[in-house]
Amino acid sequence: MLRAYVELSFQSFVAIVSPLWGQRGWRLSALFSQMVSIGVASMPTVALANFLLGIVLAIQGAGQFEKLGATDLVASLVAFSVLREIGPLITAVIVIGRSGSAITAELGTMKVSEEIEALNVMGIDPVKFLVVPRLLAMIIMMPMLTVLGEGVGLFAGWLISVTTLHLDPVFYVQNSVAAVEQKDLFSGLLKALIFGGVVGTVGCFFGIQVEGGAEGVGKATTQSVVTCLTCMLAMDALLTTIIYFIL
Amino acid sequence: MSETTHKSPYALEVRGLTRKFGSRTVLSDISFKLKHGEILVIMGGSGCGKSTLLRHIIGSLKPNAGEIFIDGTEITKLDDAEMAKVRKRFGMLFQSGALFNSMTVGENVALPILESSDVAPHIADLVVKLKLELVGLTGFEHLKPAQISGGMKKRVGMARALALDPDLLFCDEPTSGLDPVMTAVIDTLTVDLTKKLGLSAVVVSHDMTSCFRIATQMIFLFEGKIVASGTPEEIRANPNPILRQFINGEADGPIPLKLSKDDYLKRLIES
Amino acid sequence: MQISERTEDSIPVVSIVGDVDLENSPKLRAYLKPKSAQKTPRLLLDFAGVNYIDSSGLATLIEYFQAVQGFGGKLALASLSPRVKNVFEIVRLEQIFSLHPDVPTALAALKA
Repeated sequence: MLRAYVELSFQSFVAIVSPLWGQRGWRLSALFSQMVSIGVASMPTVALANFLLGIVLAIQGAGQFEKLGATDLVASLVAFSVLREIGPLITAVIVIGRSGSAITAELGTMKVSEEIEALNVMGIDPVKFLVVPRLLAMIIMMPMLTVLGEGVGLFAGWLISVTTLHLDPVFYVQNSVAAVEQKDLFSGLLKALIFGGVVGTVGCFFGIQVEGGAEGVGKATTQSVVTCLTCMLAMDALLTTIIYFIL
Repeated sequence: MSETTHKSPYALEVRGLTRKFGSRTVLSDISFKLKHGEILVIMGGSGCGKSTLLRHIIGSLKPNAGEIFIDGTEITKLDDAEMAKVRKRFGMLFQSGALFNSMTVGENVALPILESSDVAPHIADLVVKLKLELVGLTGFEHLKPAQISGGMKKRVGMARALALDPDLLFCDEPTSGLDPVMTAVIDTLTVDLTKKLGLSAVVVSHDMTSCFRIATQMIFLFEGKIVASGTPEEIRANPNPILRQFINGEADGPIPLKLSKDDYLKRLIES
Repeated sequence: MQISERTEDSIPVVSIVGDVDLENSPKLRAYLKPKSAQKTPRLLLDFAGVNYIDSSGLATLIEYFQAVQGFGGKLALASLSPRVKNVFEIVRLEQIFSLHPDVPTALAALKA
């Protein structure tokens, strides 16, 4: 199973980069429609989730910092935790729930209704035809959604700090900017990029593995979501360690 | 392809094909030949291995033993790229039609044409119209598969299978779910294609009327083995009791159900 | 596939030699496009050298036929092998195309 997953991922990445050496290009229309269904359609949920988390962060932080008499630090807490961790993480969770599961369910349904076999018989590579547009859309849209989520999260932190904690709006922004480095922003986006790759490959893998009718599709979708979440968190821990200790 | 490009006198030849799933043998030493321009019908009850046999011939499954030649090319050991080349000359109609639900009927039929060549979209559109007319679905190209009936989906599947003018056509239950008139249309089409264009066809079916109407060769599978084969006349005259029961559609006979009765009563009493 | 052209009785006669299949039909299309653009009033396609035509070949001919309808252009096809003729008949195209056993009868039909 792991071997099959690695094989599929390898084939997909080869297919993604193969247009660079003159192979037939990506299916742009399929790619765009996937970018819309994975990315654009997830925007409201991603924004809402990040907004709520931004509020929670600011209030929780304020509760602790108040004891130290340093409520000003809320700005830097929100800024670096949103950029480094919360933004990419909560965005990925939303995308897994919405789009990772949808990819598995869609490809799984295609598998049980013989559509994937039909592609094979027509001499059309299902990896190029089905997996690549979804995976590529995931890899492109995950960082973009993360940027959106982080923006909204930061705004929520600012809003709650200014309105209920009575911090100075300008001072808060200055504090935030001072607290973070470019590295924080880029490490968050790097995580998002890799999460996109993980969710795309795992979602597609469970989809085309489906066997056993509608029940099989349901099972595979559940497994896919659980595996995506676990792999994503494992990747997060790994990347955080690498970034913290090595970079 | 023109007739002169045939490499072998046989469109399809299967030698000693055996396939096991775990300890269960689903296909046992299957051998037969099909000449160009003929229609082979594979008959048999549900679960006799006929769909599995078809899946081996189209290269979706690999056998445990045996060889499959498509116009002289042995396919069981080909890699994906080589198999894709052989498949360019195939058309396959799946049992459910296997249409892509996100595409219209027309896009489904055009897909193999646009994928395999650089023909202009307008030419592909015209080919789609020609093929849809063949299956009696002129004017349906803008509908989505979800908007048409199961029988229509199957006919669209047939149009798609014929899109690239294949040499070899495979049909998995082409007429199940069709009304008698549409069954006759599909049967006549299959016969016309072979007679007029020299196409060869392999049809898996348990629709006896349709089988005898189109077949030039028949094989009858029972529990993974060929128990009878020959021309339709030979099959009609074959005294094999299993075959007779199947052709005549009798509930009582050597085919299980009756066999399970004792077992059933025993199981019922035992616990 | 080879395409050559001669003129007989001021009618262009286009000889096609080879298979008109997916690979070759774009060539035929490229050859016929200027013919319809120039409003060629009469055109004869000599199929004597054609062993095989597929649906994309038929579609290419239909496209030309559609294009010449606008200015009343005529198209005739000559010397189709029985097998090629069958390809036309299976989709009932013999009813719209003018098919002839040889070049002289096709020429006569075009002049009529």
